Amino acid sequence: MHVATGANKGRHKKMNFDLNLVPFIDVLSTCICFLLVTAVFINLGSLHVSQAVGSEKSQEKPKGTVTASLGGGGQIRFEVKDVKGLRNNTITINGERGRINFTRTEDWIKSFSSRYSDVKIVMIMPNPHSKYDDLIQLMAQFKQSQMDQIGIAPL
Amino acid sequence: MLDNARPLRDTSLGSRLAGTSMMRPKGSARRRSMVASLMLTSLVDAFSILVIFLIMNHATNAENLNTGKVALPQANESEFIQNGVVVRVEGGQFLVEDKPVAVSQLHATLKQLNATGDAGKREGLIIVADRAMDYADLNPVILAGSQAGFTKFKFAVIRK
Repeated sequence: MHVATGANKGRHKKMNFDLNLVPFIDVLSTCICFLLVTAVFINLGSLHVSQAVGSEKSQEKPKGTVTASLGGGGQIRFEVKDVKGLRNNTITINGERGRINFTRTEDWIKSFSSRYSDVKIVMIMPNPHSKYDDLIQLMAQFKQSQMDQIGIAPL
Repeated sequence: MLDNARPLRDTSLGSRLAGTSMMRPKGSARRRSMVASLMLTSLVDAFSILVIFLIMNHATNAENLNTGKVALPQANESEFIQNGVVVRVEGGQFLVEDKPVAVSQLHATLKQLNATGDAGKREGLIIVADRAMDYADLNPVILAGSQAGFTKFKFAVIRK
């Protein structure tokens, strides 16, 4: 790399100098190799669930809750409580080949959250044979619809 | 014109055989530099950008979360993993901070960690479990964690 530091006026003194870039490239190459070797390419994340504690007092009254009860054969029942203007407050979605029908659950959650955007609290009640993956997918669907105060009930 | 504009015209890489020709030795016409100059500035730029990107990527990754042989579920609505007590459920065995703990001791261990750990550790319980697992196998962790006073559970997932 040739660097000019000034104009050559008067005397013929050479003011230019060469910067040796080779050691710099060596250091950068070593850094790249180290970072590539130690890089984690699996991108981990976490789904947060808040468990209610008996001693905690909420500041304001919740504007409704949704309880999702998982039954056998992928059946799931959504029960809505304390929501104004909602009469039919229970809906059951049957499973598909023994698994939860996530297309229908997503449709219901999206339509519910678009109409009742104030409802943020969800309680998931799994059964002993509920798959962990199904629970995660259900929680992700609720979070996607901004219903992010999710609790999970122990057996 | 284009022939004169070649960057390697004055270097030894231009034509070595032309300089040793018997008939019209071009090498005798003028001295040519034997060093090929490479433009290293752009290479250094590219390397620097690559290093900065890799360092940024390195900084945002979860630190030391040992998932073992667990196949984590995938989810698109996930957050970055923060601090917490890690409980891994692997092959019917419960590992708290990579140490195997019996089911009967799970509650006491978590309670002790919640009482003695720093604020970051007390913030939540990171649960690492296999996607094919039944909830009945996970239930002892949820139950013990709730009883030990953890209010936030963080289920480790692979971000889609």
